[in-house]
Amino acid sequence: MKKDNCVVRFFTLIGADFYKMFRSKSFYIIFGVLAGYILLDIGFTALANYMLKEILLIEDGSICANPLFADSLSYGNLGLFLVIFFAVFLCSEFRTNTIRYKVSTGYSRICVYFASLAFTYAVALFGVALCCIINAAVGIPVLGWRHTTADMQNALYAFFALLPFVAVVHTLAYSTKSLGITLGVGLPVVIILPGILGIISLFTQYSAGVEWFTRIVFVALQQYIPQALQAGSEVFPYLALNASLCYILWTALFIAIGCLCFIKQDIK
Amino acid sequence: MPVLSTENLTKEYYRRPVVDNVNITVSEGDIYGFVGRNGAGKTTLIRMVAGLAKKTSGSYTLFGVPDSERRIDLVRRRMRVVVESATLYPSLNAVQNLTLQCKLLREDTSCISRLLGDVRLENAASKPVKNFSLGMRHRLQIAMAMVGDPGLLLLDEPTNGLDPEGIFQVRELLVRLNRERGVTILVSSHILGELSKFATCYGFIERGRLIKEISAEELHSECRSFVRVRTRDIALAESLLKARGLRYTVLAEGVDVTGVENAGELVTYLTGSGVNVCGFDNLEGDLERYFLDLIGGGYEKR
Repeated sequence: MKKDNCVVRFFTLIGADFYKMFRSKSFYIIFGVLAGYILLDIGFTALANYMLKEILLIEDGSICANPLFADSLSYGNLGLFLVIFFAVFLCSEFRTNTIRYKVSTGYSRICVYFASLAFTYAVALFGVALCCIINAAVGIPVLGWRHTTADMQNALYAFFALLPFVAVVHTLAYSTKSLGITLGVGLPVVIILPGILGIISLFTQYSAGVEWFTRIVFVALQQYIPQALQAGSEVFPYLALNASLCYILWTALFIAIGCLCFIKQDIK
Repeated sequence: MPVLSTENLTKEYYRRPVVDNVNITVSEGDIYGFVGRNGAGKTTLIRMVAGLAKKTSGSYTLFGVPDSERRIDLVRRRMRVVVESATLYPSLNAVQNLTLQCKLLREDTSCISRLLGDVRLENAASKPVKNFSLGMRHRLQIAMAMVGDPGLLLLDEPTNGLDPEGIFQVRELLVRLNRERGVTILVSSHILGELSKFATCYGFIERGRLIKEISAEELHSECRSFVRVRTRDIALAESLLKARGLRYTVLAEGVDVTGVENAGELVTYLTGSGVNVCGFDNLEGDLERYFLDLIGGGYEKR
């Protein structure tokens, strides 16, 4: 057996996960559906633009690729697909008990946990890249692009906003080992919570209350950041920094919880 | 130096010990038969040694390294575990399962064809594992366990659910691994007769406690013959045997008495005390009887 160190073992585990992922049907189905969804979105938007211009004769109402680009990266779209894929992929290790091959062959639990976490973030980055590529390759030629640096920043903030969501799903999978619980909790967090907070924001706008709220609730401020950018708000840098710190803190919290649960629990 | 030894190893669930101060020693080259009824604690002990379950107290040493040391994780790389149900990647085929295992262990994939040949799965190499029969899954799992040529195999009931041919194939494979490659094997089972065909030493566990460790040679010499006394006066016979301090097992048609050197003298004692003896036989002992005697169990009256 080859001698190795922690770094080698860490990347060995990640490599093994990628080997498994590229041979799993769920990867191709879920990301295929995501790509199809983005393309449909672009298609329907192009159709709407056509109807606005040619039928309703409204010249200035066309929607360009910019909002679709930001929307495709949101946790309600990309995040949803990532939650489903990670729940299926991660929980399958516990369902089939193949996690034993990692734990009982000399990999420490911490190494197994963080290698799996790094793998999930790598796949999340792949998801972001997939959205960017489809929007750039199809959305921009079809719908046009309004040149602004804010939209590239959106991509970065979108990935940033995904950090805590990925951590939540990973924590749920590794602590409960249950696909049902991981999906049952992960999906409402992605779908329902942002909507509730969006309604709350209508009554608070960019007040101190919003900032306080984001400190205590795990939320992506992504929907506020583009609005602030478009409005040219002077408070944008402060909001962006606030949101970023929230993302990092909540991500660290969920990672710590998940790691602790995985280290302490028995594996069947 | 023992390959595996435990010292007062204990595991409790909700303050109930399922492994209770167990001390076992598995020497290099042994095929250690870990014998116990269902729920005796065999699987739990194996899972603790494999790092799948946390111990409550006690310790174990693997290849001379105590479990309290950090390098126990590294030492586990010389050990493979097959616990209960087959642990395979169902969407992958046999070659892909073994390739993944090679990747995890950073082993060359050139060993895959040899391993498939060892377990007689070379013709099913590209078949998805979800379409494998139970016997094929067991054999593939043993092949997975052999990646990297481990020094110690922990097998938890590897023949469970197999037909006689499957049991024979797994047994022959394990014996071959032990004799040709020097792999030390700890195999747990409740099929006592099967273990007796190839184990070199035994550990008997009951209700979480290790009752006895014994070599195969000692076991065969201790597997005592017994006297089967056929009688309808079972209650009277029981009280007389108890008075003499003899070990016995009650049957529907009489009693089996162990530890008796002179069958005639026993029968004379019983008939002289009023027991109506219909007949008696001197019979050879076996592993099941030895184990039942150890745990103090007896057959229920039928």
